[in-house]
Amino acid sequence: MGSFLSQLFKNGLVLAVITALCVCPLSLIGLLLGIAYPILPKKHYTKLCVWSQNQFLTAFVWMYERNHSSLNIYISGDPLPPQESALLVCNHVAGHGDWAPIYSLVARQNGLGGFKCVVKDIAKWVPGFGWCMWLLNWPLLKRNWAGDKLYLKNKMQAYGKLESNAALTLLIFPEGTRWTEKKYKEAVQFATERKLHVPVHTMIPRYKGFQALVRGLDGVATHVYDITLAYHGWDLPQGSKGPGNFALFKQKTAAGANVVRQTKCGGGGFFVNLLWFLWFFYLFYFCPS
Amino acid sequence: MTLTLALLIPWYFDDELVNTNRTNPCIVQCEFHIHIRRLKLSDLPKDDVKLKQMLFQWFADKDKLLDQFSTMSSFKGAKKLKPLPPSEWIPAMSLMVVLGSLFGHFCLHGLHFS
Repeated sequence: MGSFLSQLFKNGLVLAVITALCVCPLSLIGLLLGIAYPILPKKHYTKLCVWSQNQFLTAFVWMYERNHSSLNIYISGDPLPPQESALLVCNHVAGHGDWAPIYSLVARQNGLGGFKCVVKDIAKWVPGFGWCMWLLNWPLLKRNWAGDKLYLKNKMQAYGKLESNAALTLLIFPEGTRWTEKKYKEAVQFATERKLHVPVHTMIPRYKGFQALVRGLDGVATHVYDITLAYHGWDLPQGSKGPGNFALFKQKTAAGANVVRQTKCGGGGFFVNLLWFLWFFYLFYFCPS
Repeated sequence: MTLTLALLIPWYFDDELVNTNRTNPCIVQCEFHIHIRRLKLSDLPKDDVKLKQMLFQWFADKDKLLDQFSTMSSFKGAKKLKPLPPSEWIPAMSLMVVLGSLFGHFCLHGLHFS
């Protein structure tokens, strides 16, 4: 019971951190972008989108990288030049955490401002995150291919006409859904029936969206990055192959008993704790009442 | 309430207080592994059927790579990424703290006068 309450309390704190430093700023960014959209010329609105997205995602990346004492990001394969327009094709392993390593990678290429990901249309209703995806012009698919085909074509053409100094980095998970045991079994059955490669760690990719993006990005992006993601050392729930968004802000030791954090990203410990204190102090004591 | 939260949140994230088992060397390293192949968009097949086959082949290759990963716990030639430089994260983080504070301020302000 004590352990349960302790876990509940810690989860509550993590949720408070995510809300305070992700959802609240994002909601305000969304509000400001919503006001700016009809007022600003398209060119300036695009620059504002790029700038605000870059600021938010940089802070987001730093938060989860800093929060893990022993989070190490390893990169292998072909070297990437900075600020290159590219289509990223990636395997979808984790619940929601797959974006994190991609953000970390793109942050090192200075490309977070121009980053976009193909997401489900329903995501635009998620408070903060979803509203901003819509306002930042991310491609949102309804999973109705007749409509989505035309939508993607128009969207890619629109990206080509955008006047921003940020390179477009467009991410797609061709598997279209995250890995679960049930979906994996369906994928194996599908592959067996059609005599395709029977996947062990991945699922069957859906090719129509990929084809549309490759065709649509001709002249907009120059390269395709074939990315393989893997995780090691995470304390994962059963039936999951990678961490979710929530798990990114938590970490356990091998014994599953202790939460550990050491500052890895350069002297943030005292500074950030001070910011936390000031933030709460300001919020509760200096607000007009 | 405020003071409790203000004190507890740094406590939760502070290894000095939370990690009571510092002498235990058996700490799991949380790792992201990213393997990249960089290809020119113009080199991709123009035919849709070939493009589809190529995508399936990519995923079959990913599967093999992940199979190797499951035994080696690393991709070949992996290098560790450097942390974000403070010149990038400090302005961004400061902005988020300001925006979060402003949002909270407006919410509480509105609630008070409603």
